[in-house]
Amino acid sequence: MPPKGSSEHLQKYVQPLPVDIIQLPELIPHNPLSWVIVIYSFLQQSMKMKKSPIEVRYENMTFKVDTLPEMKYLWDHGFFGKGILSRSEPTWLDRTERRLLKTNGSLTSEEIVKERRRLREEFKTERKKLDDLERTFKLENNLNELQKLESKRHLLTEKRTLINKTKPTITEIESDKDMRLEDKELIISDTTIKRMEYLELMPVESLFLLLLNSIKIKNPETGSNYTSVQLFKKLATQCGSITPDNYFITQFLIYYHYKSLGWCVKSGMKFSSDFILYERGPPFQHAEFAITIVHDKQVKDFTYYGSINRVVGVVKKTMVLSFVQSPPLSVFQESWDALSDNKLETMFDLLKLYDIDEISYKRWSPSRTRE
Amino acid sequence: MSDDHKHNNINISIINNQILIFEVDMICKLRESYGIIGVLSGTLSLAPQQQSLLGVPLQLSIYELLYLVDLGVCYLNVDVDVDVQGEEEFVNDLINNVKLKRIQRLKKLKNHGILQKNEELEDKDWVCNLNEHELFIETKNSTKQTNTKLLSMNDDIIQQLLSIKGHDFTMIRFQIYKDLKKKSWFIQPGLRYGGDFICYPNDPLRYHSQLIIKCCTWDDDDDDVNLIDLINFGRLGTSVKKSFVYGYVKHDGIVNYHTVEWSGFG
Repeated sequence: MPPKGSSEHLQKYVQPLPVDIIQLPELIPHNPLSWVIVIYSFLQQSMKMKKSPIEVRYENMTFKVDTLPEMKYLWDHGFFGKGILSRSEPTWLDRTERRLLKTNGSLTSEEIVKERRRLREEFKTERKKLDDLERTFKLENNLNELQKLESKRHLLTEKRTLINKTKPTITEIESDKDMRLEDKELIISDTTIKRMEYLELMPVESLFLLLLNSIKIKNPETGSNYTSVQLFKKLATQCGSITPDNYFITQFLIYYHYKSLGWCVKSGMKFSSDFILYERGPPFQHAEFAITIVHDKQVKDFTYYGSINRVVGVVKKTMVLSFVQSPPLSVFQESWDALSDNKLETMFDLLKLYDIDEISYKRWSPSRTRE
Repeated sequence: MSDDHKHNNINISIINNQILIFEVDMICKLRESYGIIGVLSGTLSLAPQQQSLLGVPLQLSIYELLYLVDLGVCYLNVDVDVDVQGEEEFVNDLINNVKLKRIQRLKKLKNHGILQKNEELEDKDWVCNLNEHELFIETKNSTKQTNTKLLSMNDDIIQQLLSIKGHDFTMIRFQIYKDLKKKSWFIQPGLRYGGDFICYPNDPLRYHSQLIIKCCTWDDDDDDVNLIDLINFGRLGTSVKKSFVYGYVKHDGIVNYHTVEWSGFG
């Protein structure tokens, strides 16, 4: 994987959404040749376009994408979903092929992280050794050796700063040489491996993609595809009672809010928040903000938000409290009853009843901030 | 109660819903004999601007107070209406002072011949009764000692103590507090680490804390342990190198503990 924000990424991840668009060259009306070029480019691009929405399987409350090209497509166009055997981008197949079939390919983020962790651990044991040496030299009052030690220590700290800056190469990575017992089941032939990984979409992502018409989800009960409103209703009913503070409705509201402001929104579960916001996407930079939803009917005590902030603060993100002001129950109920399966605007009428306000939260300790 | 007994026991004042101790000897004794640290909350007159070192009074949490009551080693001074009475008098005095100043000014203006009318002055004859030199107003000490007896744990006392406002008290937390004290931990409030208590193996001046305690109920549907909270506490405890401990009380009154940890593999 190239370093964060490299030009390689800029070329690879061009489109922020899995929506195909046709870009036409400039048309000059009195020039017949330009007409030809425009028509040719239109036909060529529409041939390449994805014919139908991606099929998403909905079972056991999870949304799954099984086929590899579709998984990659959804990841490359807006970073949707998470590979269930990977950190985020579905890279399990690449890693396993390298491990078992010894194929070449660029390093995945998991492998880089693993290698960096190993190097850091190495650094720590080295430092420990130096510390021990320092103690003995100090007890012996051996000034000469102490000076030598100081230069060694200097070298070590330089090496430490390099770990984060440089990218390990494939030859440096120590792959597990030994085959595990369960690996035998994975190998189908010399060149193929059984595909175990699927891409899982968050419920809010699925609804969002369905709104874009990028995916289709089959309803196993009726055999037909879900419409957006149908899916919205189904997911809301699954997440507790239909009240203004329904979990799914609030989640989708906030997701849609930041998505429409152009952020790349991913799950913030790892940081005990609701969402994290990337300015462009995971390959480009670290997430800047962690969103915690504060619903006006479910405000928790100060300790709760304080402890989330401790976790978010450690990973150098800014905690944002998104306040959701919900409508009264009667108004909400009226809108809910008015939901119509084939009328998308009824869903947005319901969402428009809510107000969103955000405040960034920072831990400030008076004695530490003083000079 | 003999004076000697009084001397050996801890004199706790409850002022404005805060549980305070003013004697330094008592604070030392609490620390040494009972392992109770409390929070120093007074300003030091020599260094009023700094934050890291504070002086008396020592503030206790409701759990620390109840624990001492349970041991039977403290007696209480409870204030009665200290702010209500005092405040009213103070405000009246202030108003009178302001009136006095205004009349003095009017008199002055009249003497210079700028003000013609007399009516305004004549209305305010009562002013003469005021002491014109009084600028500083003494607030009266209306604290009275209501209970000089040693407290013992009974329902009345508990009810009385629980009526102290501003302390988020639950019986479960107290049971867990008592159990931890029995296991000879030193306990401090846990707000800064997002728990109910933090525990030190001994005096906090000598050791780092090792546990963050969060109290929860054993079988109450309203108080489910949220999965996302588990992530939160696991990460939080691990990042500050402490164990995050869930404490709960089962039906038989036995306190149980579970820890969560963020191993961060993958």
